[in-house]
Amino acid sequence: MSQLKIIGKPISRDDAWAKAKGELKYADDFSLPGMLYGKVLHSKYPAAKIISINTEKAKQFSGVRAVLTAGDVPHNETVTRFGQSSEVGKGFEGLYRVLADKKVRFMGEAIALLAADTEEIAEEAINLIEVEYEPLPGVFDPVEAMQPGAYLVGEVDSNIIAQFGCAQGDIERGFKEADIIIEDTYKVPFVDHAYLETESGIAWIDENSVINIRVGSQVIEHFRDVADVLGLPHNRVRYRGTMMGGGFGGKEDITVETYLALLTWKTKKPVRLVYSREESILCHSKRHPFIMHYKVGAKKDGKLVALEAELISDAGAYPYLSPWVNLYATVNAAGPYCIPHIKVNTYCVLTNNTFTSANRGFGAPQPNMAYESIMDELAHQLSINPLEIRRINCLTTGKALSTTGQTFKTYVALPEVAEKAWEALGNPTRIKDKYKKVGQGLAIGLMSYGRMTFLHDSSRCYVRLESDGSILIRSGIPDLGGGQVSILCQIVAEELGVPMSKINIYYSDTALTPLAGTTTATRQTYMSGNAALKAAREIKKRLIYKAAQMMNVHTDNLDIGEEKIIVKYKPSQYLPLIEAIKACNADGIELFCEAQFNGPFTMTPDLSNIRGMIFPDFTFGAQAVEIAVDIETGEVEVLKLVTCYDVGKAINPLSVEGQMEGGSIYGLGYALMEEVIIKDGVTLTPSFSEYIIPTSADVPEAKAILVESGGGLGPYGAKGIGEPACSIIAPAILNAIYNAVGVRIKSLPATPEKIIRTLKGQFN
Amino acid sequence: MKQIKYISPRTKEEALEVLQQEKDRACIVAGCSNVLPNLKDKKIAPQILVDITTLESLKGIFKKEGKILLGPLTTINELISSKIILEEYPVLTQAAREFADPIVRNTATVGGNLVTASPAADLAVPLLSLDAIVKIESLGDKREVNLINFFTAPGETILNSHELVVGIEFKQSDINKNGCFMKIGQRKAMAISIATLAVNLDWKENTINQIRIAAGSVAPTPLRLTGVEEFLKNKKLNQELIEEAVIKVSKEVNPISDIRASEGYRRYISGILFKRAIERLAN
Amino acid sequence: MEEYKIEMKINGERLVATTQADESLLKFLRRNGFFEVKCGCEKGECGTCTVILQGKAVKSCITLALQANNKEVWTIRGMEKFELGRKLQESFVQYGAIQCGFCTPGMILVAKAYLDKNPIPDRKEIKREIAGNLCRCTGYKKIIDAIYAVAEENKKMN
Ligand SMILES: Cc1cc2nc3c(=O)[nH]c(=O)nc-3n(C[C@H](O)[C@H](O)[C@H](O)COP(=O)(O)OP(=O)(O)OC[C@H]3O[C@@H](n4cnc5c(N)ncnc54)[C@H](O)[C@@H]3O)c2cc1C
Ligand code: FES
Ligand code: FES
Repeated sequence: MSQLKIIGKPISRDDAWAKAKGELKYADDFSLPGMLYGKVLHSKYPAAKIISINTEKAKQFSGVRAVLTAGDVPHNETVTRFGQSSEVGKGFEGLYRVLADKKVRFMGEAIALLAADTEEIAEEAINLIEVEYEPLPGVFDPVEAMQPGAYLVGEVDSNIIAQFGCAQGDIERGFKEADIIIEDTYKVPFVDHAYLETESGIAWIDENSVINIRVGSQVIEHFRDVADVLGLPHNRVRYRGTMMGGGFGGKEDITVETYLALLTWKTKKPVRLVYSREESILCHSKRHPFIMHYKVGAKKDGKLVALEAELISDAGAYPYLSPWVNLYATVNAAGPYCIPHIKVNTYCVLTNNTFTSANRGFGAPQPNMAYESIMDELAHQLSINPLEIRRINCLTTGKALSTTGQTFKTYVALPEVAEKAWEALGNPTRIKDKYKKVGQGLAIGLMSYGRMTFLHDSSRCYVRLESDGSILIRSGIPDLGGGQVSILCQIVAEELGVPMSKINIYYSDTALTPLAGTTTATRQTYMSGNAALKAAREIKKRLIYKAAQMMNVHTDNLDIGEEKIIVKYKPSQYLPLIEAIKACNADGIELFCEAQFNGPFTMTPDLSNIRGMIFPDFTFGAQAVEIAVDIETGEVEVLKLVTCYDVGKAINPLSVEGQMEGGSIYGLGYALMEEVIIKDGVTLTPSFSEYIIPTSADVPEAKAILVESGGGLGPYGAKGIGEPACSIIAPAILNAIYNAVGVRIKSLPATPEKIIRTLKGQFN
Repeated sequence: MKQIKYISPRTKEEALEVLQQEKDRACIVAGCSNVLPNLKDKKIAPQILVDITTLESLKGIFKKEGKILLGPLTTINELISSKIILEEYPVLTQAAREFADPIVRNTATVGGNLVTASPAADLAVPLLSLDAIVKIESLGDKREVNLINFFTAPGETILNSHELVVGIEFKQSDINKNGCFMKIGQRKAMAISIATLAVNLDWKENTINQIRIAAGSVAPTPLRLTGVEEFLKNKKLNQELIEEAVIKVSKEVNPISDIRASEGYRRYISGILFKRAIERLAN
Repeated sequence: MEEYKIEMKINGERLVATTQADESLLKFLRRNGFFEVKCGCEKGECGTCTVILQGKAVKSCITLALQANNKEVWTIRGMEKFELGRKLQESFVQYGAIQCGFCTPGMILVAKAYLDKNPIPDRKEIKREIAGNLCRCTGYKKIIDAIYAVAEENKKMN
């Protein structure tokens, strides 16, 4: 391969200048003449029967243009879908209900929609809608909700909505062979995405009677779901996706789009709807809390022999992506370790809590926290160092994942990444403060990138070379801030030998850009990157074919770079790109291409014992931290934080580092401070002064170490990094706390109070 | 529809007149960092906003006859950058540095912090340990109240609706020079306190002449721990005494459990903060 | 609802408009098309709405529009008029300090107001100074890099 010129260089992102200048328009940075303001009425109770809804007063209120309740929604109940191409069956398609009808399932559930002339009127009038409730007992603990006879959250006879299993070997024999067994229960809480841009958008009906929705969404394929709700043909709903002010999985489900579409459809006017921070925390999805019971057996020399795990997750009030998240958790449950005897069972249970769904890491951070704590405990009890125990047990190239048996044909960067991360910490820092103790901790992990293979995932991209040598790209790709859009520009620039500045890209429009699939599952660099590569290479082939004729040189001897078609063995001989373009145009050779890239396809697995290939590939990484614990206050200061991943190939190292640094701080919040406290269905932390995320003063300057094995399935050998980067920092921090003060925190977040309680027992 | 008015009086007297007229209907606005969030949450529903931020006479830090007078509109950042405060009342500088974040500190005021009367008001605590006095005016009337008597309940003070805080005053003294503030929150910036504690100490040859201890977020209002102060007075400062006092601090505070911390932790941590403060001052 | 006439200089240009007593500066600015001022919480807790008012960074959601009457307001769109503003924008772009970009206007404005006062801070001081501005994407490292690079340049010029 010729030398890469743009790929692999730390370049400025395509979208960065517009953001630096404040020119970029997010979903809500837009208005239209005659626009109305939408508002949602949310349930006051987590579980209740709706006896009656009286909208008369609200409707009479001056300036109110529409009030809608469940009865006004053409198809109030559909199923949750996420842009997959294949039929995946009932296990994964849950109920999607637009407005609560007869019964409410969680506090914050939408009951009615309203549109009015001004925001103030909307705010005032929404409170005039009278809802008569009959509170029901509800159930708020997933373990309780699993029991026979428990309060039923939904309308079917069980709260358990998904159940998965994995097994290999003989678990009983495994534990008999073990010299040491560690058994414990771990818990993780509800977590908010806390993107700074809340859920928001604007909708209008255009001259073709198409409902246009301007919104930040990770899954613009939801246009189909919105059309289904309205009973419209799919081509009558158009998403015009904007750059998002953060997504992290929270804009993967439908947020406000259905409400916007309904209100604009009803009023025939443009409508704007913006969630307040409180609504965002109260009403939209959260990361799943899990209760994880683990039993792990090992030999004296540290070799793992058996792992049994039972994971129970709280799906909240509606399924959304819960079954999928649980499948990920199941596959991740044994971590990146070779263990001959395995038994994993997971249960996903409805409760009357706020619904849970995708959140960066998608079911990986939870079991990672548990198994990496156990690995650390094993190391401690067997007096083996934390790096060594991982070296002894981790997966290597050619080995198979213990849970599913999927084998790794490409390079498995374990234990390389673990060694690098651990070494980078260096010797423990000496601190003079007599109340502070320093500790170091390590965690390793794997995480898939690309969607589950039985979803038959694909992505498309369109590239067109203009007659002046500039390039236009169209891709349905949503950008949640990770630089997804810019990566495509970079790939096309590389392949067609033009500078980034000559590329213009249109993205995230379901009518005009080819659908590129969801910005989820860390899949865009891999999937859409490959689609862009394929389209660009096709055009390149045509250019070179023409140039070869013109230059009388064999195509094999030509390459493109710096807007020239160059003779490889004699770079001084070249044809300006523009000349080749002219010639192609004159000959009617197409200088545009829409390409589709397909991931590997498999059948839907047996969900009670998942075996074989479920994911295209995995990313491997390690995170190591050094912390200081104040032994009297319990405060933890993270002094050093190192993230090392095999990213395959860093297409833009700045973006990759950004994902690794940002991801690790996202994980730091999970470890030390973040929790959406929901008590009996009521959220007690509905603002940023109660839901605490790290500020710059709370974090170390994270260090990112990139390993580039070139072994990924993405363009140029890239792997995905967005989600993996946040998924093992929590156990690394917990292990460091143990190393510092000898207490093992088994539930997140590790607050000062929790640490002190564990250290001292009761207070006094 | 709501009807809400705005006035920006040109003089203090004009402000007092408006307050006299409007009483409960008025809401004084200073830095606005509490007022606007409260309006948004509908925790308050005033009919007129009285914006005092243009009143120059309520600004500034003045030194006079062995005293310091803070205008109520003194911002937190002005406190931080005041040399005289740093040198003579370091407890206040320390608290100001841990207050909110650098941007909020540009606008949030001392007066606003006291009148908000949050149990977690971070400036109330050092001002209590400085034994500050609050100067209050209303149309044709003036009074002074010791800060210790100012707070009555969460969000409530002895201030009447027609009154304005016009100054906060404290003495120049040895004890005020020797102070230490401690805060524990859920994070390092923009943190509502889990517990705060301030100590001002006057001691000679190891004997405590006078000590003032104030605590925040551990009772319905910021408070002075007068029981512990009494206990420590005229005693020889040593490890044993400190340990005894730590227990007394934990007993004298009167916290609740909330989402930020439990009652037990707050009692415990108050003792620890006290110990740390006294250790720092005695070294 | 009573309307108040209000006048201010925004990014160097005069704006005359009306507002209401309890309208925040944030709402006022967005209502008048200054969409570059972002709204992340409306409670003073995220910093995305930061603007420079009379030379100081303030959170516009906890400032009354009327408190900016007859005053000078700068948003990110005005930063191009200052050398320091341009340098910061350039540096943010170059150092990868921008991901979703929702915190970026606030971050750059805070940095501008700060560097105006203290042109050569160290990394620790920068970290402390941006603590009122949340960023969920970057983990802050590259933002500190970007601001520090400008500080370094200032140092060289001194
Ligand atoms: C992000 C954020 C972080 C915060 N962090 C902290 C913190 O760390 N510690 C802390 O203690 N607080 C904190 N606060 C709360 C708030 O900033 C402080 O209480 C601040 O001091 C209030 O001052 P202000 O000038 O903004 O008051 P305003 O909001 O203008 O007024 C507050 C109250 O005081 C009254 N008032 C103001 N001045 C006078 C006067 N002269 N006479 C009579 N009444 C008056 C007003 O009517 C109102 O009731 C924080 C707030 C925010 C938004
Ligand atoms: S919107 Fe103003 S601080 Fe969040
Ligand atoms: S870049 Fe997204 S919040 Fe900072």
